[in-house]
Amino acid sequence: MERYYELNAPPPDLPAVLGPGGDDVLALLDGLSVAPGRVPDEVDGLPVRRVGQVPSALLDRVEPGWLAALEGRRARARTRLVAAGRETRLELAEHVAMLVATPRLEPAEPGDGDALAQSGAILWLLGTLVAAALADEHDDATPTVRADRLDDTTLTGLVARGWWPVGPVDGAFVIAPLTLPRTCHA
Amino acid sequence: MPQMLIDDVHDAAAAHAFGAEYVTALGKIINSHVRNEAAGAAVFDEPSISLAPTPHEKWLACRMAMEEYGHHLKFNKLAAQLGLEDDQDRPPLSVFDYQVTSWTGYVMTKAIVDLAEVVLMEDLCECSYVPLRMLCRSLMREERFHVSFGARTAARLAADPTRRDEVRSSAHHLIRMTLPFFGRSDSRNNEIFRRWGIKRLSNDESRAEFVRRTRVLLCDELGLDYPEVGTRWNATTS
Repeated sequence: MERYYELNAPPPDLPAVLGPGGDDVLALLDGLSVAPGRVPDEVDGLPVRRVGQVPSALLDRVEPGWLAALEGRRARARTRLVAAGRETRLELAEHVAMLVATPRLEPAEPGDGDALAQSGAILWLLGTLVAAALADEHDDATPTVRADRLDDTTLTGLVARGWWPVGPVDGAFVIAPLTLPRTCHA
Repeated sequence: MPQMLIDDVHDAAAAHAFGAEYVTALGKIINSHVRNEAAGAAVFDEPSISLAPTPHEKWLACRMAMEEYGHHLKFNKLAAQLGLEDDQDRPPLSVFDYQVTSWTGYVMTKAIVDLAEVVLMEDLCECSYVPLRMLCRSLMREERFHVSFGARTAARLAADPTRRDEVRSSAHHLIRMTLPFFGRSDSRNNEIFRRWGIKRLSNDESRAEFVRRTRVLLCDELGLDYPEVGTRWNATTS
């Protein structure tokens, strides 16, 4: 397998190399370079709130349960991939995701703590969705009556359209452009 | 000690023109960073993402994990350009045996272990091998942010009476574990590094600078005592 140190875009053969779920991984990474598109239909019925700024105070109000559910998905996806003998594929996908995302999430101001936290949040979500896409991991146990019912497919759709699913905050599901860390100024 | 090299060495071909001793010396430095940056990301940063008490801190930990992994890749690229063999089978330094089991423990690794990395990188910012010099200069901003995050958060935690003891014990433990990070006092490697202008400081000088800065952190900024440590280290393993 080729060793990558820097990437401006995902390698063209990435889906084939990754196998099942590879197309979804490519769509996620392509989302980092597109202008925000329409909000997917799958969120109909949910109070989606689009924001142009995500300060730390807002990030800290994201529902802990939603974050914990995502963390659980990430762990389960990893376990499934390891059990299936696809650990190296997961490592490659995470490696490529990190390389592609890094320059695109670079804060406009190097010491901007908000922008650094935003880029970290997007990277974490991206890593989670990459693992879930490869493992075809969906969390059916997530409650369906709250904003945090969004499943992996919806989250992947948002990212593929250039949106960062920030998470449920005060009864609404907050989304922001994925380009925010690069344009945010302290 | 007189330096054999005065002029800048601009690329891998020029480095090889100086002979095997220079390339081998560079390789020891670069491969050490390849291993230790990856170890730091894997052992300290990534597990700490789930320990963060708030989303904002979780995301900052994630960002720092990504940056440490990025540093690993950049040193790895430098190693490849020099034609160095992949040396990742060798274990990372013993400081990475430290078990991060709490957010406080993680914060102290950023304040102390990353400070040791800053001390080493500052020296390499004047390295005779220009690609290594430029890489270290380009990484200093991120490394200094990690240290400032650690120091700033440590000050907040130390002001909390329920956390103060843990801050102190983590700091003392990490300072002792980090001292070997700088190498032995009688290191033959360090002599070679200085002779070729790869490093300017002896291992003991770097260690003393680390002790000076961590003493400022603990005693002046956190209001804690400092562990009894020396600036010489002559053990046989690190």
